[in-house]
Amino acid sequence: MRTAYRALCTLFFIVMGLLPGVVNADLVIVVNEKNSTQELTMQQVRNIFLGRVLEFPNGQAAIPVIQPEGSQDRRTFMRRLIHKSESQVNAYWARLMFSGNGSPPRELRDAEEMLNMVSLRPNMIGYMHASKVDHRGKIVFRLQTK
Amino acid sequence: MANTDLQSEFDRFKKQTQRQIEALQKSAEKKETQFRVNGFATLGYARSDSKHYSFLEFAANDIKNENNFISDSKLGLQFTFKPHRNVEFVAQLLAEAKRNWQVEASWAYMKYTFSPSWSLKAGKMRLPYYLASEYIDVGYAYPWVRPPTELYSVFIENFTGLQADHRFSFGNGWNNQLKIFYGEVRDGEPGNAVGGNAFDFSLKNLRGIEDRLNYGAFTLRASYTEGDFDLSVQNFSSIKDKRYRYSAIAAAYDDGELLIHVELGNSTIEDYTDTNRSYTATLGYNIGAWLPYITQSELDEEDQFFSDTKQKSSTLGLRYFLNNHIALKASVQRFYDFGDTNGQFSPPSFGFEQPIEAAIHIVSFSINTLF
Repeated sequence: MRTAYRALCTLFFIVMGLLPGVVNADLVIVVNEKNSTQELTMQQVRNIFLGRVLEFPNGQAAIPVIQPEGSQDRRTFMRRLIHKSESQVNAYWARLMFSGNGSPPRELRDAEEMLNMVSLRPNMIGYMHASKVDHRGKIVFRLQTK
Repeated sequence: MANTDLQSEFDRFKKQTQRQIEALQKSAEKKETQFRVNGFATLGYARSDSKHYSFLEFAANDIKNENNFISDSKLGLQFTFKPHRNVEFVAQLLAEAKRNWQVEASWAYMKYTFSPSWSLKAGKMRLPYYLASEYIDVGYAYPWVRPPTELYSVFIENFTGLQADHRFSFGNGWNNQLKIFYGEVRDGEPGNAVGGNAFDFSLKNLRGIEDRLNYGAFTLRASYTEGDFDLSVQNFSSIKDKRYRYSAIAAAYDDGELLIHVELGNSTIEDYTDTNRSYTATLGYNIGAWLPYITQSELDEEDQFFSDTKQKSSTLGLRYFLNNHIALKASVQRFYDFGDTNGQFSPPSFGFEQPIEAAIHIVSFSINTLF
């Protein structure tokens, strides 16, 4: 009985591990620890990363940075938070950029560089998988896993 | 003694670390001071089935019953220089096949950012008549091969002056962007001249307001522009110091799957315009990289100076994202209900006798890139 339970548990975790976006979707939004922002809503995160809002709710300027195209974190971010394809988002930024209404976020190398930048710049806001965050970043939003 | 040594060693280490942090901070700041070049290009093809009439007004380059790669093809380059956190210089140069690839600046401005909610631009800018007016040349940015001409085919595209931009948020996720502008358009400014006739015009005391309200996938937009208009057509007739007014309202929805765009426009020249109203509506649905859509538009214009224009059009179109930098588009359009006018079509010569067809079809293809 006990063995069967254990086997079932193992099977469950294997299946969960094979479903990206179920377990792997634990994406977090990080800011500098000096930033007084404690928490952001999903809508606020979206607005900052889409350049619709240029400041944090506390009035401090917000500079979003993103991970490179093709990275797992970026794929999760686009699918689960932005709900648009890379092409659609490129078209969105083309509308803003070529009409003087904003420019796309700077792309950084990886989560490591993102953590470094966020720890140095009080205005920066980035995203990464929860497991990559350390003392250099403060979590202000956690994507609910389904 | 050993304790003091340790203390001084620690102080030295602390100083060194601080210097390193400062250097890193400086390099992070520096990364924002930058020079950027971005561009867009469209290669278009269009053909109509009208025996004699041609679409839109670019004389020899307009769409007729023959292969046309000229009407929609263009190349744009945007140079951005940001010497300071709050200052940005932008020049957007555009070369269009229909204007013999002659390079013109559609934007050339300096932007100063006072705060995340206030900024000011000074220079040459696109007039924000309609929702997509400011990026009308960037094919990758919108679904149509060309934005519905019943609204988007405007006679004055740019102005030179000032534009203030104010943004604010309220409630849970509502964003508002308000623009107020003032400036003028001078005689024979390239890019604004309509081909074929020798037009001489100016628009002084040009002033306007545009407001965009956004909530998630919803956008509502309204704009109003007015100015003092002078126009003379060589050896023909003229308009002197009349009030020129342009207003538009739009609602759009784009959640990544469903796409809705509804827009109404009205433009008048005081004492000359009897009626001028136009509308367009688009409904599309994204299926993977494909976006099939339908568009219905109408223009009804009665004027004492220009010829009357009545037209309806139905469009069936498809956009396909080949990758994140190339979009392919195709559309079939049916133009009809011209009343007793020629719609947005022109006869081959002045006084041409044969009437326009009851309906004209245009097929279009385009390749659009961003780089």
